[in-house]
Amino acid sequence: MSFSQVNKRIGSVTIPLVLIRTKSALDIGCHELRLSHRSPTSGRGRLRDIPCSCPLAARALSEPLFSNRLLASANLNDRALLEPHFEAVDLPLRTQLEIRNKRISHAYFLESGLASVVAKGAKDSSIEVGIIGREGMTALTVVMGGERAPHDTFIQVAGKGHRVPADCLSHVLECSASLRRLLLRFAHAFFVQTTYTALSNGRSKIDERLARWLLMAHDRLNGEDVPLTQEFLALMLGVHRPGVTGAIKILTAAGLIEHKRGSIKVLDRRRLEAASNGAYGLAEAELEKLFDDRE
Amino acid sequence: MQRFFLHIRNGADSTNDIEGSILPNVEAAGQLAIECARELMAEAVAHGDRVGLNRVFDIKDEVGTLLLTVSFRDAIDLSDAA
Repeated sequence: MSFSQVNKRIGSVTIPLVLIRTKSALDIGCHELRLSHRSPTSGRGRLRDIPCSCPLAARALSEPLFSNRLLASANLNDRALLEPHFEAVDLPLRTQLEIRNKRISHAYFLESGLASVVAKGAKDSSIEVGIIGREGMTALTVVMGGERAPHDTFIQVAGKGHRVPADCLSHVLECSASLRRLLLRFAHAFFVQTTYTALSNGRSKIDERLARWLLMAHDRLNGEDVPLTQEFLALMLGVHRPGVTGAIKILTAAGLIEHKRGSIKVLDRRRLEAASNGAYGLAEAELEKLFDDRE
Repeated sequence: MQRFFLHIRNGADSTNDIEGSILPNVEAAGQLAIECARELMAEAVAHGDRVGLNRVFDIKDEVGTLLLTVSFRDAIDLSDAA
């Protein structure tokens, strides 16, 4: 199916036909050129290897790429399918992206900041089950064919992103097997992350869990500071807030972090990984497989 | 609502709370201290670490006035089964 057919098909369902922006059109031209070279489907990394004399294509390549790793590793055709539906959004602290048991309105591809998926139990007890930053997206329920959010998802470190209406995402996924595969593979990596969260919540000490969580946040943020209050950290780790104080003290005394009110600075990442006592690393390796396979 | 600081004291050693929790009253702060003491001791027991029964929470207000002391020992039932 050609891109124009795909776009018309989307238009005939519920979404008005959107004019493709110049950059997307250039991307398509380049994608077709690449296909004529019998290259395998791939992301931007491989594109640089393809001899392309078109000056417009060269200009398209020099444009800023997405910081979001899923978007950056999507092939050009898939990006062109998604981009017309994108809305750039600021994501201030505590923005609620999904509400438990409610229909998901948008999928968010974060360019910066951090979102947290939080499960709520009886008597208002809550615990974080996963975090999402610029490596991924929210609305995995939609990617997997559902409509209603199982948990609350909110912004815990302010950032920016692109959002696409959930129904548009569903239609685009029906049109592109490669995008479906990419986003499902991220859903798998996120599932693996939650399994290791379960393991560390059940088996690791608070300071080991704190080390793991800080590393996960550090992976997804720019700079060395993780701007989070203890109140948030307690929710992330599933403990009472004063319990976080002791764990921070242990990591601080070892020279791994520096604690200021409302922020923690990572001083020695390598030793912080060791301090997680195995709680950090395996889920991250699973995520890296997703991106390695595409480069 | 006001901010309460829950400092852990263990003999001469102390772990200072620099962020505090916003709670309705000192009773709520005492309840938080009890729950947190149980959680910390439970974790120590589960991992074979020192329980630290002699630790206390010193609950202070914004200006550092001591409002309440909660003993870790008093947070758990140490009696034998009836």
